Parts: sequence; structure tokens; C-alpha cells
Amino acid sequence: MIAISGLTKRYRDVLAVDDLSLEVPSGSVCGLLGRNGAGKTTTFKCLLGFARPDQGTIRFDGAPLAPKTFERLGYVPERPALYTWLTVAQHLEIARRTQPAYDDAYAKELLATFRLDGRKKAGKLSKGQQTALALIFALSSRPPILLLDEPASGLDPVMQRVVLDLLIDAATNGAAILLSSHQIGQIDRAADRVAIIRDGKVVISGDLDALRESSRVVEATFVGTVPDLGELTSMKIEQIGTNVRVHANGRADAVAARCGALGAVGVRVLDRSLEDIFLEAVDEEGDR
Amino acid sequence: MHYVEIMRSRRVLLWYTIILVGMTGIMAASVVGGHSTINDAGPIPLGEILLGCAVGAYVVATIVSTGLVSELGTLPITWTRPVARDRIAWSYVAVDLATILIAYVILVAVVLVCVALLGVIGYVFAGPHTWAGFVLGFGSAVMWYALTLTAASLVGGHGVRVAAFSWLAFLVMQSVWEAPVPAPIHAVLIALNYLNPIAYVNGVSFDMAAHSDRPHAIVASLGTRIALEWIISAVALVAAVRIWSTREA
Repeated sequence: MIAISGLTKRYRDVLAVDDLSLEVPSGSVCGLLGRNGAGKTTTFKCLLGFARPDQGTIRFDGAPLAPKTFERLGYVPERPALYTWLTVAQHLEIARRTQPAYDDAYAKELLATFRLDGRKKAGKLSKGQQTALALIFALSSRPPILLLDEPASGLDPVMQRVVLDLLIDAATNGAAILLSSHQIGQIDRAADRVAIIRDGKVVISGDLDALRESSRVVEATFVGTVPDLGELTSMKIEQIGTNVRVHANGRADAVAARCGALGAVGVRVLDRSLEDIFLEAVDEEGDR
Repeated sequence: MHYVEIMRSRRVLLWYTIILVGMTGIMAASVVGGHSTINDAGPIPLGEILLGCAVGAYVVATIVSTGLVSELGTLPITWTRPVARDRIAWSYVAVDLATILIAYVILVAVVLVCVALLGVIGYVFAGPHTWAGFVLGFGSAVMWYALTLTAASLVGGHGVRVAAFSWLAFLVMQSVWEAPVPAPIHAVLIALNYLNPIAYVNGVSFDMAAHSDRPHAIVASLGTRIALEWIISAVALVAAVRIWSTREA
């Protein structure tokens, strides 16, 4: 389990991460979403000890970060940081020598999956292949904790799907995975939890299904004029002519029934995509 | 993680040896062709050969001093190993020091081969202070490495630029201390030379039991020179490792 509590990191005048709290249980993939500069990479840096938090605690399976933690932790950075002058096989040799749980058979299987030639130097690989090598490096010891910052960037759609399936498999086998991506479709496919951060703060977090449920919208069409909506006015309401959209805050069925009772001639409950939820969460204009 | 540094050092030593062997080959050809002969050879102190060969160790020290700092570009690998960062750094330093020592020994061997090719190997003699030539020569290369590594760690990367600049800085420091400048500036130049590895080997003569009339910036006995350069090296290495392993990425 990854547990972050009250994490705060400031770079001079810039508050990069602001009192961020988040839990990723074992067997779960948590998607970390946010615009550029929202604080995702800084969060990863604090998790890995690359940056020292100003406040807050970070625990992996109940213990703070220590060198030993990296026996159980795999990390894929946003930009693959490889030794361009070493071959693919030599990179795996580094993993073999440093990770007690290194699984050579699995590493070879992953090499075959990503069609990487062990004799090729990392500097001669395409961006996608470098990303694949960084992934193999991180996954080859089957770590129970995975931190992935844009792990599928540069990969073709087929390989992106392979990566997501690998992550889902890892989570099924009990891994706690924190996955950052700008491609909301990837999060939608792989994650069961999500945290959306804006200006370093978590603005939405929780179980993805519960989040979708709570963000459903009721669209009601009235004839003539829209009646007084009574207690529904405490919710966010958008009105265009005689069409009303009520953000139901997890009470979609009750709101739909109420709209019907108020004389709506048409009532629809609309599911919202993760992209809709994300865009609304990070929409600063919408707050003003 | 020392595996990476071993691979890096292996590459450096391979090219270093190829160049030296190539140069020896050229010289052998020159001797065979009768172009290189020594007719008036006098005694050649082995201690001075050892000091002179420190130049090869300087070259390799400069190159390998960029290794640890270049790891800042691969921190997602280097700092995510289940090993304490300072242990990683010390393992790199150990590999680098071994590489410098090997480079030093290779050059000494190559020079002795060249001396033999010239037919004057019989003039080479070892005195009671010959061992000090080795310790002082190797120590100055270690000091070069340690100071360059510390500077590169302080500036956070740009290891190659720092290493290149070290040659300029040390050579200039070594050559300007005798310049006719006001006394305070002269004192500063002398003080700076205590941080200059070249200054420690300069002016040492093994002809007269380690005493020389040649002017030198560091006025100290052989033992003091050795102690100073090794103490400065140790302090610089501790500082470099500390800076590297506690920095933020």
C-alpha cells in the first residue's frame, strides 16, 4: 500500500504540492491526473526521495522510504533515463545485479513481448523502445509497488494496450500502482481509483466507479416554463430554455424522480466520462 | 551499481591502452629505423619516472571523474536501487580509484618499455625514496580526481566541462605563482597551489634524496607533501559523496 498524508513541497515561491493526501491499496491501480505543472511529477519525486517534502509523510506498506524499499518498488519515469552507451542486455544486467527479486525468465518474456533486441544499445532505440526498456527494467522484479509517470508515452497503440494489461495483471496479483498519464483513456482502462490534482492539491479522489456514479447528471425537459425546482437548487444546475441539467451528486435516481414529479416531459440520467469529470475538476474558469 | 562504472572504466582503459600501445609502436619503429637513439645517457631516477607518469593518471582521473556526476542524468535507475546512495557513490569512487591506479601502472610500464627500447634501461636506478615517487604521483592524480569530482558535484552536472576546466585551472595556477605580482596576490597564488595536484609533484627531485633547488610553490618535505595531498583528497571525496548523495533531483 502507498499512503501519502499531508504532503507539501515548495520550490522557493512556488507551492508545487499542497497538503496532498492519497492512498493506493494493494491490488489497486490509482490514476493520477492533472494538467501540466499540477504537481504530479513533484509528487513522484517526493515519493522516491528525489525531493525532500517540506511537510507530510509517505509510507510504503506502513514503512517510510528507505533503500530497502526499492527491493519492492519499481519506477518508470516520464522520460526514460537510460545509459545510452549500454545495451539492452546490459541494462537488464544492472537490474539482475541490484534487484534480489529479479526474474530473468520474466524479463526475457517482456523483451520478446516488446520485441527488443538485447544487443542493441539504448541510445539506438526509438523513443517507444526506450520507454519499453524502462518498463521492462522496472517490471522485471515483479515489484509489489509501482510508480509510473506516463509509462506508455511514445508507445504505439498496440504496445500501450500491452502495458496497461501488464499493469492490470500486476494489480490483480496484489501490486499497488500509482499511474500518471495525460491519456485519460489509459487511466479509464487500467485504474480502479483516481486522484485529480490541481495546483498541487487533490481536488477529486476515490473509487472510479463511485466517482462516475456520483457525477451522473439528470437532464430534464419541461414544457412551457421550468417550475420552481425546490430543494434541487442546492445542486449545480444548468438551464438552456426549458432544458435543465442537474448535477446530482450521487443522487441521480432521486433527482430524476423529483424532476418527473415536477412535470418534466422527458428525464434522462447521463453517465459522465472520466474526461468530463477531469475537465470539470481542472477547469479554473468554471470556479470563477 | 558499480557495474555501470566498471563498464565505463573498462571503456576508458581500453582506449587509453590502445593509444599508449600505438605510441609505443611508433617509437619502436623509430628506434628500429635508427631515428631515436640516446648517446649520452646519465642516471635516471625511477622516482622521477614515477612522478612523470602521473600525467597519464591525470588524464584518466579527469575522464572518470565525470562518471558519478553523469549519473545525475540516470537517477531513475541509480537512485532506485536498494542500496544507500552514499554506498553507491563510494562504490563508484572505488572503481574510479582502481582505474586511475591501473592507468598509472600501465603508463609506468609503457615508459619503462620505451626506455628499454632506447637501450638505457640500465641507467634507471631506484633510491631509498623511490616509493615516495609512486605515492606522490598516484596521490596527485587522486587529488585531481577528488577536486574535480567535488566541483562537478557542487555545480550539479556539467562534469565534462568541469573536468576540462580543471586542466586549465591547474596548469595556470602552476605557471603563474612565480609571476612578478604584489606580495598579497603572490600569497594568494601560493595558497591556491596547495589545492593544485601538479604543484605537489613539481620541484621534487630524486637525484638528491628528494631535495631540489628548483623553485616550487609548495615548500614542504616529501612526507608533508604526501600527507597534504592525501588528506585533501580524502576531504574532497567525502564532500563529493555527501553532496552527490544528498542533493535533490
